[in-house]
Amino acid sequence: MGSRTINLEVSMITLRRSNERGHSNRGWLDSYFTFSFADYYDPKHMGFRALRVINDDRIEPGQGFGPHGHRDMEIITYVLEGHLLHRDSMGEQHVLGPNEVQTMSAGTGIVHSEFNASDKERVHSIQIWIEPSAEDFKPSYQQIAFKPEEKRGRLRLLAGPDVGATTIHQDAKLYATELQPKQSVSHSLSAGRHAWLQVVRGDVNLNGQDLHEGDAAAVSEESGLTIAGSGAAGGEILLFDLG
Amino acid sequence: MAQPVVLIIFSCQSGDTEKVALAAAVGAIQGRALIRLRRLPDPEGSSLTDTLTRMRKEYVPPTEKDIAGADVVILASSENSNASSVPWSSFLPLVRGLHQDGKLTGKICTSIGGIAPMMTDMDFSPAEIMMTDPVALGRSLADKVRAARSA
Repeated sequence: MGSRTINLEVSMITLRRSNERGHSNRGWLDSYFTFSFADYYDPKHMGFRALRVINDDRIEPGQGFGPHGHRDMEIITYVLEGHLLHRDSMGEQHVLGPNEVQTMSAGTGIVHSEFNASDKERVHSIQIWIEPSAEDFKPSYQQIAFKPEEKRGRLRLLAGPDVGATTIHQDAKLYATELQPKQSVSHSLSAGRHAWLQVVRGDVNLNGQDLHEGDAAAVSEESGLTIAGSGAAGGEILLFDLG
Repeated sequence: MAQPVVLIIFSCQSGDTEKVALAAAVGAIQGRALIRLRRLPDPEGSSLTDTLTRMRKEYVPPTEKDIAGADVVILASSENSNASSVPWSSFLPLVRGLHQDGKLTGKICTSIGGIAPMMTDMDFSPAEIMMTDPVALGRSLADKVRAARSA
């Protein structure tokens, strides 16, 4: 089944259902790819605006990605469960857990490794790649923590071009929110802006559309989004506001 | 044009040569290459430190397929290594065999550290620049592949 586009007057919301994503299971790593990545290639799903990758990864205890390189990409990691150990060629070594966000600007070049920091618990994390506005930025690493209540029932900025969160070299903002059933948040989109909503946990409703874990929606030509928790336990989403 | 592939094979127990290997990898990425980092297995009886435990987890040993798929092969050893020291003594015969079979033809091969003087007969040029600026070395080798391809 392909993606479905819903035209509501002048607005356009295109759904990307969870089961339409690419999937790879290497045993130690179980990944769902919203956009083309590695061996999963679909020319219809190469990204959205500057958003290039959303990988939904589950990494087995003690396992991970050995040292590998990146160039000219803003790489954001958001952990839902467990802890990830990050090491890189800049000498950074950190453990990333829930209610934290890590942003790495690869710029001219970086080598890093990511491993499940635990020998017992699985990690569930979301890795996001956003194309930078230009090439050859100086590589950098940022990690911030926030209180869980900062994303409960309201949008918590995780990354953006300005201060207030981790900084990325792109006209894009990434928010997270956790919504109880019937609890809602609204987000205004300025003229010419677009949004990508990714459900990372549970169930939500976007402008009347039911979305479940792993589902996503691309939004264009829409001035406002209303996102409400639904189902028995509500849900958690990542919201991208993109130029 | 496909990206150059730079393979860096190193031996390290302390983490020092790993830093050189990582720096060369960063340089190769700056030169818009894909990188592969491979670490030779430790000598038997190596003292198990936190660094060694980590490196054993993070790296896999090189394979003939890794070498076949690379445009550039960099061998990085510590200054006190030589061709008869473990683990190079068991790895270099593989490299010598590939050289004799012509499987290194067309690749840029370079070596640094204590093994470098023993590698010249296998077309591995010593990379003196590596010891002072491994980033520049990685970048220059990646650039060299790109230039050769576009010539």
